[in-house]
Amino acid sequence: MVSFFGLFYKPESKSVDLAQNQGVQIQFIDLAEFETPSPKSSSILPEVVTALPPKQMAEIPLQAPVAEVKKTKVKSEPAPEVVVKKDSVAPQSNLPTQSVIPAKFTPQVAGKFPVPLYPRWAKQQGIHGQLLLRVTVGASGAVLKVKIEESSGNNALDEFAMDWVAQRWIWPKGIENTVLVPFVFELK
Amino acid sequence: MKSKAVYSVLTIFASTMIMRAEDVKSAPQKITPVVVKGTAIGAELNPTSPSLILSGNALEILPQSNLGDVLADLPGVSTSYFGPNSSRPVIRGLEGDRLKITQNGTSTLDASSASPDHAVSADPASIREIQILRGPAALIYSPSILGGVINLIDNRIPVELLPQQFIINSRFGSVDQLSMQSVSAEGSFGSFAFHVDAFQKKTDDLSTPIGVITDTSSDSDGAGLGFSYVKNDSFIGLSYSGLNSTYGVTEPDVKIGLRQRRWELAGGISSPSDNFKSINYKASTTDYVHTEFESGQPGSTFKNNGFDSRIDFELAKSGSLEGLVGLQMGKFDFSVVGDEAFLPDTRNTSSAAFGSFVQELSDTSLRLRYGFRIESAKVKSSDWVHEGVDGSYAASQASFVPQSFSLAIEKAINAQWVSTLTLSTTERAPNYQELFADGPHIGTDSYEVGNRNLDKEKGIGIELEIAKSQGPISTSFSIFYNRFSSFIIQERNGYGPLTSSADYQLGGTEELARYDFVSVPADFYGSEIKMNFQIQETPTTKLGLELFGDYVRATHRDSSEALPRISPGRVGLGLHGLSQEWNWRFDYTYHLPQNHVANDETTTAGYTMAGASVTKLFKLSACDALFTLRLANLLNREAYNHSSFIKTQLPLPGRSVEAGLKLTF
Repeated sequence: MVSFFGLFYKPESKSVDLAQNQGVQIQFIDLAEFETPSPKSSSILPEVVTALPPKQMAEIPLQAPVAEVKKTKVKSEPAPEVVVKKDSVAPQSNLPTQSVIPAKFTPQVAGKFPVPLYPRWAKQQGIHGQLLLRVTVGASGAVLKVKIEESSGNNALDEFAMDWVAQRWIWPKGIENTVLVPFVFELK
Repeated sequence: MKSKAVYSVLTIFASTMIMRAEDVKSAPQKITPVVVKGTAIGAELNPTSPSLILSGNALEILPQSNLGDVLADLPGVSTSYFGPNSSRPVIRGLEGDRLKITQNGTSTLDASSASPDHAVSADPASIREIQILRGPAALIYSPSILGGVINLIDNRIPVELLPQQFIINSRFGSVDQLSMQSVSAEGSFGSFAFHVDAFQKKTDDLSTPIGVITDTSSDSDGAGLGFSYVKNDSFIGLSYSGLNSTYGVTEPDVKIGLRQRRWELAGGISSPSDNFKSINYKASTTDYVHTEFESGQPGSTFKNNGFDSRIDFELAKSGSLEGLVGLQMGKFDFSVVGDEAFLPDTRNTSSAAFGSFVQELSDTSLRLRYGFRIESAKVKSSDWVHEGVDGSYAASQASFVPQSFSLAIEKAINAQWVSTLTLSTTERAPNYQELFADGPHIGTDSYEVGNRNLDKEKGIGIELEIAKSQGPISTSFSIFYNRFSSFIIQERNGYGPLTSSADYQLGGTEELARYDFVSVPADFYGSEIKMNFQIQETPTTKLGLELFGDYVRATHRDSSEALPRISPGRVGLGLHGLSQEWNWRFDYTYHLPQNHVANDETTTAGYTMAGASVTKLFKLSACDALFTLRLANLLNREAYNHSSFIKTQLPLPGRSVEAGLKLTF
């Protein structure tokens, strides 16, 4: 069924590099746990996080311009002693969820990054999970490649997220970019 | 605080990282997570949120013989149990037209509310999700919400592109020799999504502790096909489905043959403009007919043909207010021909405007939900003969404007406890049967007489719920009082007219007890409780103890007499857990005796029921397999259901084992 969805990008871009996935441990830090950074420590700039080498990635709100960053692997960075377990944080009840995240993502540039509705088929079957996509955007704003960096464990859910990003997100022109997009499908 | 410390460590670390990233221009940026939340119960309420959803494996483990059985273990639910094949759910003592059952949001047109021996025309084998709505959200489907609304979803019209999926499901049971097979396939071709399903189900006569009850077998099959055209922000789909069933109703040599065909159209568009979050529309037409065969000869034929349609406008969030408003319009023609023609042909039309809203208040511990529904309902009969006299044109029709409102005030007492106070005022238009019945009704062994001058059924309800959903001890406790200033019941009034037709001879007498539809003041009160102690909770091992109970009492306020067929309630203990990848549950329930009975009723003894179930999810080569095993009435107790019309003749099923295997490819 993969090919049925290949409307906006080439089917081969859906390759899932299993070797690359192996060992990549991404721990999402629940932003709800952190207090909103005060103006002193934070500007209104987007929340962009550098991808860390395997086993060192963490989701961190920080100040940085949206820089054009080419995709090359950083393999030898020293590991920080930071481990934040998702289990240990409070639920995200205070956190704005839908639509806010993409808005924070690139506030200076045009583009649309809608958040999908939870697919009914997944909801009914209790399918949930987290996944990480690597999205390569060309200078024209077209999505060149969407790849699964880390699978949710459910192929259909992975494909849903890939299709969504490839077909529904509109990127600004003139900026070549590769970003990692984490998805969290949450059922209570 | 610890979290703050972690945050600053991370900030420092991250700053150095981003500098490094800029230096080497190497690593891709990672954005904040895209969080997609499923409609959750409680915290993530929207104006249409059901108070309970059953789907997937949670639905799979429940008994599937009929809709009543599927829901029977939920707090506040009992069943009308006219044998294993006709059993409607009863919630808080309310049933029939007071407890609306919809299929994908539009009416299931059948004859199940006309008589307790008529089955609901939706088989659990083709239902993929059951929603129970209460309070303001229920008003989007019905003006009569004090029991709730049950919405059945069959997935036949896809609302989105679907991943490829093929399911084979089999079930076998000991107590009625159940054999059920169903298949379904889903997928997408380009912008088209499709769903197809089919099932076959056979049961033999039911075994009970007092022996096999004859004339309770059934033979059903059904199928549905639907497809949708899905574009980015919209979809439109069509489905066609059918259900055939031949079933016994415990009467010697009587079988009911049911045939239902249904077309549905549905579509939706999200964010059509700044003012709307979505617009959804649905329409269905149903062609329902059932014939009651006596010794193979067709006796009476019930027909219900009609349509129902609705459009829902989900409003864009405006400040702290979210809402949905809509219109619904439907019509059905109901007729009975043959021996049991106790109802004239009727044309029933209704149209409604409704809305449901959720509003956050500046005091963040408070949230309001409120809703309204205003209907216009008309019943027009032809050939209405009342007590031997032809009804005039004017007398043969009736129209009503039921208006219902509901307000729920939610207050977070602290981080864990939430209380909800719900106030509702509801009205229901009398139906074709309550207005125009006049004749012998063999299903209930009575001569039924309607009342053309009945006014709307009116009630007010107040309910207080206190719930705690987090932590090792979770609980919900609710207490309700529903006060009807007018509640339509059947009241004994001597005997029906003598008839010479041999068809009316029942039990050697030609005289049938006459029951008139009358309106009386009535009180319903009761409570429901569920409390879970999670003793152990790890991803691989779980253990919990659940305490549950419900109670309802219904009284004719003038005479202080009980209303008939009210199951009083139960208390029970459930032990449940997960070990070695097996999910298991054991229940021990004491059903209360009913000593508070109506004049012509007998009391019903209490009884205990023990049951158990186990499920396991596993991989069978390339497919996901779900194995379920259910044991019911382990003690083989002889027990009778007070809400059944024929309780004295029909005990509940005996000890049984039911096993199922569902394979998903």
